[in-house]
Amino acid sequence: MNNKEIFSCIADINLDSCLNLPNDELEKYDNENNLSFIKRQRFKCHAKLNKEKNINLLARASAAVIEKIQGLSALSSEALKEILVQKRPQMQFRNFNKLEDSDLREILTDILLLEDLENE
Amino acid sequence: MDYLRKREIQRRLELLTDKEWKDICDRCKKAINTRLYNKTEWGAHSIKELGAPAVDHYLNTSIEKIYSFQRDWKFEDRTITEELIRISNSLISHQLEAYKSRINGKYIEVDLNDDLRYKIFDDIEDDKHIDELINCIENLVKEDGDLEFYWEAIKDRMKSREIAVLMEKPINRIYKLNDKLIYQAKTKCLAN
Repeated sequence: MNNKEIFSCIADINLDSCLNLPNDELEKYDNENNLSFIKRQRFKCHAKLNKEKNINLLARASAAVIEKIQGLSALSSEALKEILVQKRPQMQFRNFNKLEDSDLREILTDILLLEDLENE
Repeated sequence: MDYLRKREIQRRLELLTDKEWKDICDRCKKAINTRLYNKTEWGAHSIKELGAPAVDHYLNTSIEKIYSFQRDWKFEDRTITEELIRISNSLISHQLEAYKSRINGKYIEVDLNDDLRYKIFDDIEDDKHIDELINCIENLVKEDGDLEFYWEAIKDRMKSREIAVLMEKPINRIYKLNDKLIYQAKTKCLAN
């Protein structure tokens, strides 16, 4: 047997032990900081995938709707809220006041893309 | 990695509870601590180099690589714990190579490749060092009957479950013997 393989054997058993040792025999660490870190990663992952979804949808959207979405950047906060109320009258107007312009544009972008897909 | 695979990985990650994450962290930390035993006070894996305690640095970086999809979680073959341990090991090897090349005054670009082999001893690179380590272990196991028997089984390339059957001991005892062997090798053979 190649001598180097002896150490691979030891490493494999160590990995086996890390994976399969019963929980009550495992040394316990303070993992609170790691859990907070995981929460932040979860949030970033969600945002990243949503962005990717929108890019994918945009790639499929019609030229007309892309033009409308691009046009949103020139609109004021009040104009954005007005369109949102027209498009989704069931949405509660008072909640819009808590949102940034970028959030309003994001919601409108989603609505326009969905409408476009429904019309396909 | 395509969008649907990313979504599937995210879905599987979302299923993990905090309690499960705590267990995953404990297991990964055990693996990282074993690999880095006695190697975090100074050098490549010190706080000075990494900016954080080594165990947290390597674990968090591995978690980040999974959540940011820089590394694929091959969930068809591996649990998230195994994937994270393998990524941590790859990061440790990468950091060591980068540090060594910097200390030696030469710039070598070290790719973070996909070599996810699990390693335990960083100090042994060539045949001479391997033989020295083996001779040292041969001497130290003589003082402990169980450890000597275990070492012989390892030399025969036996797996943990086979050794447990052969020694008529529970598998957890085999894991403890392995921990003891690694500890003794690191403290008595590789301490300098």
